[in-house]
Amino acid sequence: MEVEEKAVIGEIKSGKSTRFSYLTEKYGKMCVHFFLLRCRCSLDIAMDLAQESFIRVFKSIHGFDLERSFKPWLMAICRNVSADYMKAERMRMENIKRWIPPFEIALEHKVLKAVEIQEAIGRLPDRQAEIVIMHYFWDLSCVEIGALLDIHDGTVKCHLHKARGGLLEILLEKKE
Amino acid sequence: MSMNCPIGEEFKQRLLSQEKPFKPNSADVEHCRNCPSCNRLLEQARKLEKGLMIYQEQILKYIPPVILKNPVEPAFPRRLIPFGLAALAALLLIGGTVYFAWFQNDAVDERKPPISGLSPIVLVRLNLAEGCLEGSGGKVVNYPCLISPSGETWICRKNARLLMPEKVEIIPASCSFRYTSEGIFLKDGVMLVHVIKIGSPFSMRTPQAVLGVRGTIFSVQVSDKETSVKVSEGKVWLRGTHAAEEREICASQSLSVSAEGVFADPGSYISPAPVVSSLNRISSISSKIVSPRQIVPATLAISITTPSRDVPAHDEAMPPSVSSPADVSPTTAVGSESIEISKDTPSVSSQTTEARDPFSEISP
Repeated sequence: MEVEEKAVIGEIKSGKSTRFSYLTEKYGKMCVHFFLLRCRCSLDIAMDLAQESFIRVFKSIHGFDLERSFKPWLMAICRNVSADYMKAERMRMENIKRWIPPFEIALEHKVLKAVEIQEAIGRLPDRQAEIVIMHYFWDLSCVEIGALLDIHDGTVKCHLHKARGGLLEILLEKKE
Repeated sequence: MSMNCPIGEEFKQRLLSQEKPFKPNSADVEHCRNCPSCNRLLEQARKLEKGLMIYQEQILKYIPPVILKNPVEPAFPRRLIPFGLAALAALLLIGGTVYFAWFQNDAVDERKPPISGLSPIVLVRLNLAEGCLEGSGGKVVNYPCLISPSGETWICRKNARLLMPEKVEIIPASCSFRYTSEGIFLKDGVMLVHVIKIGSPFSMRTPQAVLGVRGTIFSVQVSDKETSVKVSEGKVWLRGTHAAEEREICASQSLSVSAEGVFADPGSYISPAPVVSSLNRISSISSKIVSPRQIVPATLAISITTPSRDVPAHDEAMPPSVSSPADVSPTTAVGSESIEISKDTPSVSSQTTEARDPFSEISP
């Protein structure tokens, strides 16, 4: 954990709640993106879920151990929030209008739409999708992911291998 | 993907299992140069990784920042909840005790009907220069007093009763007196005194006389030349200031004495039993309604003046030898409900309404 981030969390724990905006600015968009990928929901719902996540963080940050890394802890909270949401809304999730990112990615002789990447990740098994999000978009190491998911890091690598293979197949090989 | 390469599956496993970014070792790179299928796999893996990295950078630009809509307060640590509850209970206990001890007394005071015949307000002003009441621990027991910010002016009801430390109750009426631990010195005016039984005899002095009293209710009236005493209950021993002769005044008797010790004949003073009963009734009421806010510290000198009043009925039975004070008219009923006395102007701005003698006011 960065020294600055550690200091900010220490200040929040000591009662200086105005410093909490540092965490929302730094991790807010990542949380929203996580919910967009995991819950396949609209942007408004993802924003609300991110709000809920940070409120939970705020309520329980007094018990956070400064020796640990903050990002896996936040990811754990986001996973709980997304699980709660999907449990409550599973009957209506099909009818929710998803947010479609309006940009494309140029890869040498190929152009990928952002929504294609989202859909490809969404088609992966849950565990593999989670690991791809954590590893690529949250920059968590295999060890950290293993600790978070309570599995061995070798298992994480195995899931990562399968996920990459799946993405290659969906995104690149079939297109070619 | 072609599986013609003998190490293709192993290479794929090794490549896709490693953490980002892809870092194939030199042997794999060399192999990929000679193996098109493995080279293609490596290129696709790199392309995928690059695509995901670009996607991550781009997607965050399209997501609005998260701003907490509702400010939230840090949760109270659960381990402190029992202490918080205990503190809250203690606070409620203390607050309730203070409320009932302090404010309920006032509530009782407000619920009590006013004693009939009492004028509502009389202004009492401390006169530090002339100093008329000294001592400590004195209280105005029957009515609340308003004290000015300077502390020099007290506003209380007419017939406010003063309770002195030695359990002497005084109803001053147009008088000037000094109270010390040695007793009361009545300079002039009229005063009704109730001495509750105490261990040692209580004495009272006037310019003309010395009174020894114990467990007694009596009134004292000081004029320029003599002191008149009317006893309602108990006994009072009276003598002139410059004389040795002492006379006993029993209940329902009156006697006056000059400074030289000349006694006037005792009159046929009839004890106003209602006065005694009323005084006792007031005592029982006032003992319940004293509150801390009504305590008037008597450490400063006080000059107390009440409006002029009509004469009590029992004064008509007073013998001719007993002279009324100058400001007490035996027949007229001139007075005021409120009266203001300042240092510079020792009397009086008044609202003319009917006012009555404190003694007669106590009587039903």
